[in-house]
Amino acid sequence: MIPRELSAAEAAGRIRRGELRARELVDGCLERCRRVEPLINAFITVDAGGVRAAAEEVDRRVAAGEDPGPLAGVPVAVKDNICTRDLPTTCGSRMLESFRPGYDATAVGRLRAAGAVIFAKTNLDEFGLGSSTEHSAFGPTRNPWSSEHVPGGSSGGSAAALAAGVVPLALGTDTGGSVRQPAAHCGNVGLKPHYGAVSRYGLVAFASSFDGIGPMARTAADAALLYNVLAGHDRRDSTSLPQNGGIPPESLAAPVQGLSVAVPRAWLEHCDAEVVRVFDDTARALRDLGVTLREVRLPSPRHALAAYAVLSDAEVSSNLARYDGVRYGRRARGADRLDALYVRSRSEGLGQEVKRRILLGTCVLSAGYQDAYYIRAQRARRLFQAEIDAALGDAAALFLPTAPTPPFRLGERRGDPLAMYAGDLYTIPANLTGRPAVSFPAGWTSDGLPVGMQLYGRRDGAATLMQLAAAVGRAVEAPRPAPDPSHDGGAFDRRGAGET
Amino acid sequence: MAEVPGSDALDLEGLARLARLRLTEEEAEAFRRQLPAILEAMRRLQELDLDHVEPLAHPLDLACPLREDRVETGAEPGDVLREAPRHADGFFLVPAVLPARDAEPGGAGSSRTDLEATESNEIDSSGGDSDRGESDGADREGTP
Repeated sequence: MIPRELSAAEAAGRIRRGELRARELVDGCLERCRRVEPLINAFITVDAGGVRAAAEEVDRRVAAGEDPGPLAGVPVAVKDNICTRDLPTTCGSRMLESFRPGYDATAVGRLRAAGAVIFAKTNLDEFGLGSSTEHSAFGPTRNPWSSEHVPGGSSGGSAAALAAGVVPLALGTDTGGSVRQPAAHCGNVGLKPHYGAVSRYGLVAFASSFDGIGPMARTAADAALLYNVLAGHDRRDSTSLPQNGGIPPESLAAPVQGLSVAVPRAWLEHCDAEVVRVFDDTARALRDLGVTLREVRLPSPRHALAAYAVLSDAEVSSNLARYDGVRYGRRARGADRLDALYVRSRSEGLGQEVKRRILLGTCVLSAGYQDAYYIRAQRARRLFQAEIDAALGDAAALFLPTAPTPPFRLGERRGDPLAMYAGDLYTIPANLTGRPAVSFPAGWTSDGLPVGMQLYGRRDGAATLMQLAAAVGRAVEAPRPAPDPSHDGGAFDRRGAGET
Repeated sequence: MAEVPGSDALDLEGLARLARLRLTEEEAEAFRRQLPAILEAMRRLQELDLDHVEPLAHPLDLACPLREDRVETGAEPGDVLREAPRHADGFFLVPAVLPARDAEPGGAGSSRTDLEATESNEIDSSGGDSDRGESDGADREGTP
């Protein structure tokens, strides 16, 4: 029986040395998936046959003396807005329910070239629009730590798959916090790389100047391993960074003494008391590690949220205009004119949250509004970038919570869009500026729900972020073992079921 | 200085038309309730002094990258077309773009639901009479 907490690094190492067969590893993951999936609904498509075949190919290559790559045989869950050749890529939407791309996203291609096994496509808020994975056309995902709570979103399926111990690695996407916030709510590490560090080719577009693919894992070391496979220039993405460095594995063990982080203390007034407690505990841990904490003032989060909402809604209304029933996706029946085809296909295929944001985006781009809202938000974006750079100064990172609250209950915010958007407060700065930011597990609520903390970095600062996340990870309370929903007739055990 | 439009100027039906969306009564009612408050939150950007700040469309200061003008293989047409709900001879098939006219010679324009006749008249010029040239496999029109 393979330990649930086997890291990706260790798994790949054992497989490459011939000590562990990839087929045995994925069979264990598939079995775990079968047991927990009815309770968490993390997956949209699991291709068991393809998974076994890919694992057997890795084993064959190892037996033949070949090196399949740094992720040899490691199962990776891929968020369902990232194209996987011949596997349904639904984006959590009825519009693309039976869409099978004819190509792999660059990120997926890099995973395969590194020997990874594409395990499954994970659930998400439709097209990435949401912070709870409740806006999927395929039902909500539940937090493995508590079936009544959300896993966060929009990469909730990936976060839940990790927390439930089904896979050691997952891809998420982050446009306003959708890698970091679910990582925080599920007790994982989630990195949003610098904009352009990972190719967007094959990532279904939400807001093109904010979108990015990010690695998710249970440890900083595994997230860094995954990042190194994903990152790199791609000619097929014209916004791809010309060159970008990886995260040297040895840097994760390097001491952080002497580094300084900036703390926007005033922003914590929007926080739940339990989050503040974990924040203070983490700050203490940082100080004990020899990190200097310096308080800074940031511009009002209200304006950053407004700018993000205007710009991302505008961009999504434009990007989703392509779903018209003509070339791919859902086509409505019975339309006798082209315009009717567009309207019916879109109205049938797109969910309520998607429609809401399309309408808002259409509004801010329309005559009379465009200058006062859209262009103005672009100016606010430049101002915000300058102000946050000034506040950061020469500190290594900004230190702040990932989310203002612990995971909330299913249904709690569904009917209140403003409350849902307000939860993105601490994550949207990194999307507005393009800078890297990481969420790492930092503590627990008194109810046993995970709380994550965030570090926002400099332009080339991904390695430093992960170095800090790894150091604090070692210092704070060790992550609890993933709950085992199959115990006690299916009841979740938040206190940890222990190793099986 | 022009007055900044707010939520009272919100024309939900007009926006839906622009976005090619038809809202259910339930959706329209929900949006009428929710959108004004969201728009007002966006309007707070008026509080900032942005007179001397240039718009920033994109976090990277990149110019559009150029490459050598050399023919390369892109997507295979088969891979692209296989996801199309209806296609023939390398074209995506759609219903009539223009409204039907009455008493069109040959009757081609008169029946708005007679897509097949219209298409074979317009597309099939190479002599395939009953074969409309649709690809193998399914008419993949959306399932309800």
